[in-house]
Amino acid sequence: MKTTRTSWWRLVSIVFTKEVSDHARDRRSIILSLLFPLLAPVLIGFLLYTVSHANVQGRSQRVIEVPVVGAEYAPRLMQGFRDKGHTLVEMEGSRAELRAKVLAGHISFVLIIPESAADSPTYGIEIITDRTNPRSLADTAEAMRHITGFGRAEAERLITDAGLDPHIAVPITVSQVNVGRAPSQAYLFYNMIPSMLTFMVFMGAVYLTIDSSVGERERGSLEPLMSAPVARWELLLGKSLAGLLYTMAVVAMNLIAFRFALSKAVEGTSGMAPPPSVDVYIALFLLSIPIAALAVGVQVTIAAITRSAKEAQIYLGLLPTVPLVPGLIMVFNPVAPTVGMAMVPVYGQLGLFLELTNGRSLDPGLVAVSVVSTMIAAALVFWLASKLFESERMIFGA
Amino acid sequence: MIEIENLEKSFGDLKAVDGASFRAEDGVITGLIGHNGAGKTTTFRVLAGLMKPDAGHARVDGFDCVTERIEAQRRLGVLPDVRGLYPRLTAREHIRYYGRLHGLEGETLEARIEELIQRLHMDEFADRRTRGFSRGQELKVALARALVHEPGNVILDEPTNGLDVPSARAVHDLIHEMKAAGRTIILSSHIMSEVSRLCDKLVIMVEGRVVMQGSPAELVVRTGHENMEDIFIAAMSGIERRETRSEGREGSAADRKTNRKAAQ
Repeated sequence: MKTTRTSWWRLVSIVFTKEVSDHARDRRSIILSLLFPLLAPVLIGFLLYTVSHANVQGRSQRVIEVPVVGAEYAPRLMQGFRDKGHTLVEMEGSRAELRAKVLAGHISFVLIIPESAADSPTYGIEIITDRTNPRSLADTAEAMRHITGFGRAEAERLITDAGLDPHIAVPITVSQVNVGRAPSQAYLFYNMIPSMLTFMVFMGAVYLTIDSSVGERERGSLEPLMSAPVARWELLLGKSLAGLLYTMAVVAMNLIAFRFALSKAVEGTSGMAPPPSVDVYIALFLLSIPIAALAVGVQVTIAAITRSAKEAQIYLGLLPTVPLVPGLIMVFNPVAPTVGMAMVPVYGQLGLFLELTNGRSLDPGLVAVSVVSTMIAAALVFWLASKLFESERMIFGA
Repeated sequence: MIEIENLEKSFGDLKAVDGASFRAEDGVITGLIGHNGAGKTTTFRVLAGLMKPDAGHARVDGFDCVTERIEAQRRLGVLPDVRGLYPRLTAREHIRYYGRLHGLEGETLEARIEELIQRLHMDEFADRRTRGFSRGQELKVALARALVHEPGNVILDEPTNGLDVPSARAVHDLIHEMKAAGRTIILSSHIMSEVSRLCDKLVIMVEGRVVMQGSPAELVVRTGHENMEDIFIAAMSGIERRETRSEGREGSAADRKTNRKAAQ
């Protein structure tokens, strides 16, 4: 039969199609691939939901019980508590007994008002609290807010009564003009998207990569495949593009899950910063493509030099933690991207991702530097992998 | 035509192929026989473009298997000893995949696939995924995969291993047909009755060297044995006698046997 040498792109597409359809039939790995990207969005969404709804309660005047000794010495302060809906609970007993009650968690705190408060406009209030108990801490903070506000109002009244300008109590006032986004705890959660996304980029095609390289060698199918008239780089490219497709599908799944989970988490709250918009998610997806190419190249290279699928699983399972660590550090210590940073593959993208999740626009120059440097790195890794595919070790093992 | 010329290939200290030379002509079935570790599979792998020789040449229709690998591979069909199937692909998809890699498409390819399915009695399992296939079924898929592009040169490593009698006969018929069509066929088999029935020429390899080659009739004259097994044993013992004589210079026969086991 007369056969003709097929064009390289046709051969690459034949290998690509085979790998994609073959792995699409692996139901177990497909289900895992679809579920795994949901974990981080669900977890982070749940945490954000908890924090944002706790804040809603905080802003809508938490009503607390105010255990107090000597309430009768500060009637106006006590009335202020009642006016805000708090419940006064008159306490008795020695200091030791009161401390024991706070420590045991029977009461959050206790205010001790001295007798001198009845005769003097200035007096000190003692609060016995337990700073290791979150409930105690929150209730104490609420009581402190009220007392501080009352104290400020009293100061102004006393100064006015003395015929002075009430501003004398606060001679210097400061007003801030925030040119950035409004501060919000929500950004702490939004800033976790980059590291989790990068983690998924390095996880997305792990199974496919192992199965289509070292797995093929173990199965014995690499020998007949490499006996076919196909250049090794064409085989590698077809397999790698299949890996890239699976990685980007996992990335898309991950971003859709983040979009849904974070939107739901802050729904109905007014103080939290809004979650990233659809545009941000699209930008994150597009900027992930160069890293995904690099990730697949690194995965194929590592899989090619390992002796068994089991060994490859160990190395490739650890690989995603490499970008995860700097990504998590950057959640708490965001770094403004620079040209130098953009030139470092993955690290540069993490910086750009953070800019996006923080609601800032990207510098096109930095985007270009980051994309080009990552694609160069991906090409180098691909070249290395193609050399490994040429070796007998790749077909028959060590 | 397939040519092997002074081929050498070592793995560390072990010389798997040691200056082997032979030629497989068009329209001739050449049997490459030898014990396990004799260098047959390594020779096949060099021919298939999977290994580079340390010295010497392997050529398919004049194309060097190293420097003109793709051209040589286009003219070659290989049935390896390890069948190596994809468990999630059907038998038909295997044949189609390799047909496409060889440049076949469309109706031509589908007709060829159907022809092979009929010829190798694969109708019942052609559209089943290969996970759980018997050894015989796996062999048929691998054979069809190797022949889909109707190569001018065919390497068959244990082509009937694991087949039942009717299927083995079908493979034999196919081999005869390929011979009649003028194709070059090299087969390796441990079944001496199969070798004597099919082969027009025999190449006996022992420890990486070609120790005897010729038509079955020529080998009968040279060894004085009529039975193929006896010819094979005579060829092997000839080598071992020589080695015993040269003991102390190149290592004992026992040492070589140890190496042979390591090679397996």
